[in-house]
Amino acid sequence: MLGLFEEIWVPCRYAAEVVGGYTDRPVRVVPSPILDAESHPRRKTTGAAPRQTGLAQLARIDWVPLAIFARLQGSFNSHGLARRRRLRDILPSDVPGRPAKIFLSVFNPHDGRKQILPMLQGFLEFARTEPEAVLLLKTTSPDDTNGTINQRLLERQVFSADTQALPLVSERVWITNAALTDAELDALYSLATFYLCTPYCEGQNLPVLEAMARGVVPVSPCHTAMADYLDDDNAIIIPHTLAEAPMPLQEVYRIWNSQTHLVSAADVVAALRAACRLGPAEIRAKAAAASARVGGQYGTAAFDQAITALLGGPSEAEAGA
Amino acid sequence: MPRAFLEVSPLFESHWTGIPVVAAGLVQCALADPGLDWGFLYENVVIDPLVVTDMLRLRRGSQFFPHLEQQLWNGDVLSPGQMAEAACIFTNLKALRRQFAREALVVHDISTLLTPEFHNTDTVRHHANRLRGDVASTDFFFCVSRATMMDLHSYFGVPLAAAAVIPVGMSVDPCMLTTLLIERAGMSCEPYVCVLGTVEPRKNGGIVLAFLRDNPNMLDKYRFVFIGRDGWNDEKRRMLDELDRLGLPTSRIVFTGFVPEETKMRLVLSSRFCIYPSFFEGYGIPIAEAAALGKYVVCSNSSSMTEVAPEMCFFFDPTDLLAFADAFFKAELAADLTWLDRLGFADIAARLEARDWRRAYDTIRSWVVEGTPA
Repeated sequence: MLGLFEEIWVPCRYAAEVVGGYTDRPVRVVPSPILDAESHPRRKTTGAAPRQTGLAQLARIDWVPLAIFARLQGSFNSHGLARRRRLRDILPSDVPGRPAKIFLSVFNPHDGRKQILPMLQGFLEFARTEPEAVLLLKTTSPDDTNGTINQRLLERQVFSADTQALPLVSERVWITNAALTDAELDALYSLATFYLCTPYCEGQNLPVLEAMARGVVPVSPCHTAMADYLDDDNAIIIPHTLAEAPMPLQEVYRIWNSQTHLVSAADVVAALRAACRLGPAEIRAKAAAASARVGGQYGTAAFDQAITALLGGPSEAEAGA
Repeated sequence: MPRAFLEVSPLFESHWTGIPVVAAGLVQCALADPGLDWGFLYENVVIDPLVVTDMLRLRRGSQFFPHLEQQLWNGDVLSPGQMAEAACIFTNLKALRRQFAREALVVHDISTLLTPEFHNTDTVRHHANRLRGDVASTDFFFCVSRATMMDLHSYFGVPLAAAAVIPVGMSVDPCMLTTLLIERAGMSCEPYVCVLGTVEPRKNGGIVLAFLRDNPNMLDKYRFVFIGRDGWNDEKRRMLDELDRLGLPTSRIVFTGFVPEETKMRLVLSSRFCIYPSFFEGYGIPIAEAAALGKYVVCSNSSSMTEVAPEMCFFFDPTDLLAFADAFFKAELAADLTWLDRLGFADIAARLEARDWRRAYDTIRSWVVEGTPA
C-alpha cells in the first residue's frame, strides 16, 4: 500500500526510520503543527493573579480523586464521585517565589501506549514525601464520565491478566474527563508547572508539545517521537529500558514478540524528585527552552514548506529571486 | 525484633471455609507471638491488628471492607522501602511480587489447573494466568499437604528444598465444645450421616445419591445431611434434579447450606459418621474436623485426603460406586462397634491439641527468623 503514494509524511524521525524500512518511496518528517506554538511564547509567571484567573476559568469543572480498587471498583467509583471537588479546593496555596508542585498529564485512557501504571505508582510513592505535590489527569474518553473514569483506568491501563491489580487510591491525584474549551485548557496548562507522561512509544505526542508551547516543563522519557524535541535543557528525562512489550500491549496492537520502552515507577519517583529540586530560575530556563523548541520546530513553517514543495510551488531560489 | 508481614486477604471472605480457615489459624498464632513484629496486609494495604482480631472472633471478614477503604483513603499502604526490609507470607495468591526482601507463599492446591472441569472458567483463567508468575517470584512454599507439594514440584518444577508441608491445624473454642457436649448428652435424635463440604462438582456428592439409589433402605436407617455452602456450577440444582429423577424421598436428604461453625460442630458431633467423597483436595479440613470429634469418615482416597486422618478413614476410589458402598458399610460397622462417636471432652481436647495450629505456625516462623522451616 505504501507504494501507492508519491511521498509519505510521518510525524517524527523514529517513524521515518520504521516506515522507511518498508518502502522505497520518499519518507519525509512533517510533524503536525502546534498551531499555538508562536502565540504562547511564555505565559507562566509566578504570583497570585494568573493563578486566580486560571482557577476562575476552571470553576465549573469537577475533579474526582484517583480511586482504583479492583475488588470493590463499583463502590470506589461512587467514593470518587462523592469526593469530587473543584481545583480551587484541591490545589495547595500559592507561595510567592516558590514553584508550585503541580503536575499535569493529558491522555486518552483507551490508548494502550500510554503506560499510565508506573506514572501513577511513581507519583503516589513520590507524594509520600512531597505533601504539596498534586497530579492532575485530564482524560479524553468519549465513553466516560467522572463517575466511570476510574473504572476505565483500571480496565485499560492498570489491569493485567497475569498480575493482581493493586489499589491506587489518593486525594493527591485528581482526574477530570470533562470536555474543556480552549480557554479552559489554556487555564489548566497555566496552573501546571510540569507535564508528566510515561508512554511506551509515541508518533508525536501532541499533548506534551502543547504543554511545552505554553511553558510547562516536561517530565518524560526521551524515546521515539520525544527524542526529536526533548533534552536536558528543556525537560526532566525519565530513564527507560527497551524490553519485551507487556502482553496486553502485544495483544491490543498485535505486535507479537516486539520490544518497547518500559519506564519503572522508581525512575518516575526519581524524575519527580529531580523536578522538585529545581529552583525558580532553572524552571524558567527549562520552560523557555521548551517553548522555544516547539516554536522553532513545530510551528506552521515546516508544514507550509512541505506543502509548497509537494504542490510544486516556487523553489527557494525562485522565491528568493 | 524481626519485621514480617502476613497477607491476609482471604480473611475478608464472608464465609470461611478452606483457605480462610488456614489463614485464620496462622494469623491467630502470629497475634499471640510476642517475639515477631507481624504486620497484616490486604494486598499492600495495612490492616489494623484489632480489626484482624475482630475477624477471628466473628470468623468472617466481609463487613470490614469499610476499614480497608478508609485505610486506602488514609494512604496507609506499604512503601517499597518498607517492603524491601521485611519478609512476607502470602496466604493465598500474590498481589505483590518481588517487593519484599523474602517472599513465601502458602499453596493450598492447584486444582483449578489439574481438575479444571470442576471450576468456573473465570476461576480457571484467573489462576492459570497468575500462578506461574506467583511461583517464579516466590522464595519458599508452604504446602498444606504432601500431595500439594508434589504437584507443585511436578507441574511447576519447584525444588523440594524450596518447599515444606505445614501441618494444617484446628481451632475449637473449648467453651463451645463443652456446651455442645453437654447439649448432646441431654438429647437424643434420629441417626444421621453427614456429607461434608461445599456443594460443588469436585465434592462428588453425586456418588452418595447413586449409593442411595442402589441402597434405598439406608434412607430408612439414616437421614443424609449435606453440610456446606452452595458452591459453583449449579451443582445443588443438579443434585436436586437427580434426587427427583431417582424418586428418592427428599425428606430424608437435607442440604443445610452454609452453617456457622457452632452449628456445623453440633451436627457433626451427633452424627453416626461422616462422608467426604471429593474427587480432589489440597488438604481436606472437614476430614480432620470430623476425625478430631471421633467420627469415622468414608473418605475418598485421592490426592491429599489419605494424609489427613488415615486412622479414622475408610477409603474408597471416588469413581467407584462399589468401593464407596464397601467403605460406607465398614464405617457403619466401626461406628457401631467402637462408640468412638461418643468421645468426651478430654479425648476430643487431646485430639485437637495434636492438631494445634502452632505446629504449622512454628514452621513458618522458623523460615521468617532463621531462613529455614522448622
